[in-house]
Amino acid sequence: MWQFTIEDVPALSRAAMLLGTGGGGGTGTELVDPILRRALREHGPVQVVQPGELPPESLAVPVGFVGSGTVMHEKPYEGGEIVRAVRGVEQHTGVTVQAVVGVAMTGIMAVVPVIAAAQLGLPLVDADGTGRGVTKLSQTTLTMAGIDLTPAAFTADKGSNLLVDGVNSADAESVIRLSMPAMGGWAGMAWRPLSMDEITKGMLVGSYSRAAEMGRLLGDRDREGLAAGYGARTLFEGKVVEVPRRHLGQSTTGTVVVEHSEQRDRALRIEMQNEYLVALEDGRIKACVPDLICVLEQETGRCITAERVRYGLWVEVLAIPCDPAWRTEAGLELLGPRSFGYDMDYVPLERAAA
Amino acid sequence: MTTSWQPVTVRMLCGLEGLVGAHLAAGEAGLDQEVRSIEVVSTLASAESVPPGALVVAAPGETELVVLDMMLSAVRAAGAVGFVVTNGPHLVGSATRLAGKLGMPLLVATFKDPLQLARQLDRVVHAPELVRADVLSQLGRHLRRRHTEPGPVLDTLARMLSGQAGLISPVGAVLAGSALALPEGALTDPSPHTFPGAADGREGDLVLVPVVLDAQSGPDMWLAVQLPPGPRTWTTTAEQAAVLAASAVTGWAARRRLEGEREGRERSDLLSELLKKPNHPSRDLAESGLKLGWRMHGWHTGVHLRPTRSASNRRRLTEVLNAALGEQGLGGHLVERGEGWAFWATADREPAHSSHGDVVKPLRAALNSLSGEALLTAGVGRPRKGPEGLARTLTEARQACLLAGTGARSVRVAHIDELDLQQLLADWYSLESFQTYARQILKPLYDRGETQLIRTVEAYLEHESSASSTAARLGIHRNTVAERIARVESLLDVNLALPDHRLVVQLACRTLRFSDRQAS
Repeated sequence: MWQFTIEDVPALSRAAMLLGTGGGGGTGTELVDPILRRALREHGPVQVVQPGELPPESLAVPVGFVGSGTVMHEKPYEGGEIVRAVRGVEQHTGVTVQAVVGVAMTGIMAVVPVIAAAQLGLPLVDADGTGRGVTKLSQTTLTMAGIDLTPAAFTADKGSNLLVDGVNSADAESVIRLSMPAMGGWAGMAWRPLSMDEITKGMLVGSYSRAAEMGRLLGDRDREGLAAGYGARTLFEGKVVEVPRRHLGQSTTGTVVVEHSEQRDRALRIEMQNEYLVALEDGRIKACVPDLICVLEQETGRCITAERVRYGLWVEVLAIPCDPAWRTEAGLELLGPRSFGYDMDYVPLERAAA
Repeated sequence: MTTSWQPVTVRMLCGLEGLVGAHLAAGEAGLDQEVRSIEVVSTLASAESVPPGALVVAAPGETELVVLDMMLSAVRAAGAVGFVVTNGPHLVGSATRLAGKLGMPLLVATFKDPLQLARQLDRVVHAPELVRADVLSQLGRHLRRRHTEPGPVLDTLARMLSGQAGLISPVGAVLAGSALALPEGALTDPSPHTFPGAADGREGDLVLVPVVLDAQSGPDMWLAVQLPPGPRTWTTTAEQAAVLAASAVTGWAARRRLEGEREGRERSDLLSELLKKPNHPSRDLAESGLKLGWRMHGWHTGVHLRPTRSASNRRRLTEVLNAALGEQGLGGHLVERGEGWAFWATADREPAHSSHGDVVKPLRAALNSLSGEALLTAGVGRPRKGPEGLARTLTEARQACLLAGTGARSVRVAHIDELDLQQLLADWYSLESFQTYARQILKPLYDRGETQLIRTVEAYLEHESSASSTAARLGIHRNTVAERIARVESLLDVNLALPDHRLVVQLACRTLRFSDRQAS
């Protein structure tokens, strides 16, 4: 158990963007960081606990947000959305939750559970269902473990509440995505509360501790620490020379071409669909999903989202091996290159061309 | 034919059909590579399996082309020479850079149906194959129409392929057509094969096709075609045309061998008939002889030849022997006889006694010229007159030939006159088989170490079985001689009063002395 204080906000924020691999809410966590700070100031630090540190019968509610981070820019987080969603789920299921847990360790999604935990005065279970950026709510280790998350409650800023029940998580996602325009572009969400046993079996435990440590190393620009602790590897350094984009359904699909800063005849091609998914040099895979590909601004060391990457930026492309759970057959079916439509087999970062 | 020399290159295709207006994004260095086929790919797997020389058309698609870079490197690894793609967001700097690095033209074209584009380009690329079909069918017609000899076949082949064609023996000698320079060890591989042309571009590929009559004995000849520098498709055409021509040459060679074998059989049958009744050759026999060019009347000088070891390929040996004799002016009617061959020269008048060098010298030269191929010995008979004379001179030649090859003597060609009695005996003594036999006969004496008895019996037989002469020669008493001879007779189990026994024992003694002398 440890305490998440205001001092931990920058590290979590950095790690959430790094692990978001270009996604995580488009504009990054800058919109929710002040809300987290305010919540911590008002309600005090959040206890971050391991699943075993709570009584086994305790229930933790998975919370997050769904929709467009870009819209959130225009229509900011009002602050009470998640709490209302949690109350909605409690009311519908007739249970009382004893803790909060993360859904996906990516961008705003990684920050929202901490805000909710502070506002609700509940501990935060040190776990999430992805350990990295994902495009769909169904792309989680919970899906792999066969754990359904319905019923779920969704709330928008003007007080609308939507409760989805009787369908599985994937169908619940379809319903809520269709409702997004009516709800104003984004919504806070709370899923069915999970037992400690379900969390241990179906989630990646230790996510927040890991994120805080990675965020600190990233802030210190400690590449050696990141390499030693998390297998991070710098793939390429250079200038973005081309970013053709096209829109495919909900996602921003496109390509980033980075020209090497010293060897001008070298170029790295990164394919993106909200997240950075595949990195190629000379037609050979250097890294691909589910391993993490992150683009950092060279000068500031800040992560650049797929939505903000643009011509002329000097960048460092970093790759980090994913959690082993994603490298299983079931994991690759959910988050392998083919699940994004790429005609290629997964090549683990450690075996990809150096 | 001149159009076929132009290889279809990426550059040529750029201005044609659906590629009119195509833009070269990268890979200019590879524009002059030969395009051998057009392939449409839509997946990475299909990209990995394109054949070498392919110009690849990528089917436009949302998910497939995002891995354009991977496709480029995959098709290039498979040997593709160009890539055609539609314009779009998939076409980024990394792809053009990669195409440039790979030296593979990356063509950006506007097309909706990749199959239609491929079909159009395919027609152009396969034009050389249409030319090939044309060449082969024309060649087929030529070969059917005439040409029983290889010369015209080679001429036709050379003309149609704009190259040079030759028929070459297994040792590299030109038999017909053009003299071609073959690389070292070119004829080692007994299957059809092609040597790539020189890198400097002065000469094109060299196509070699074996002419095989008997699959077990390897190629009898080789058909070689030297092409001028040209595209690979033309070499393929040449290879197929050469195989076609080689089959025509095979037919010719088979016919020739069949005729040769039939004629050879006729000759040996006829000669055996003649030799059976040399005094009264029947009218039929005489006429058949005349038909073969044999003159019964006149002076014949017979020659007999045989291999020192039994030949593995007798038919071939007959052919090369005939050729070698022909070169020395001794060509004519070589007749197979037993293990060897016979022939004879006929003159109107009796040749002078000193003239047998006229036959022996060229004969020796002919045999020497064959020493790489086989070791042969020859015998020459005396000039004899008329049909019965032919039989005699051939018999003498055969005897001389038998002696020429035996024992310590290294004479390759022997004339019957050169063989005197002493020599004849010496030849006998030196025969390994006879030496063994002699040792066997005298073994009882040797085993007992009775050299004295051997010396005595030898002297006794040399002195016409006279005990007194022998005693005088050896300086011993007459009775001692008689007693020793009796012991010899008992030990060897012979009776020296019988002429046959005497002869055998005497020959044995002489042979052993001869071999002892040789050994010392």
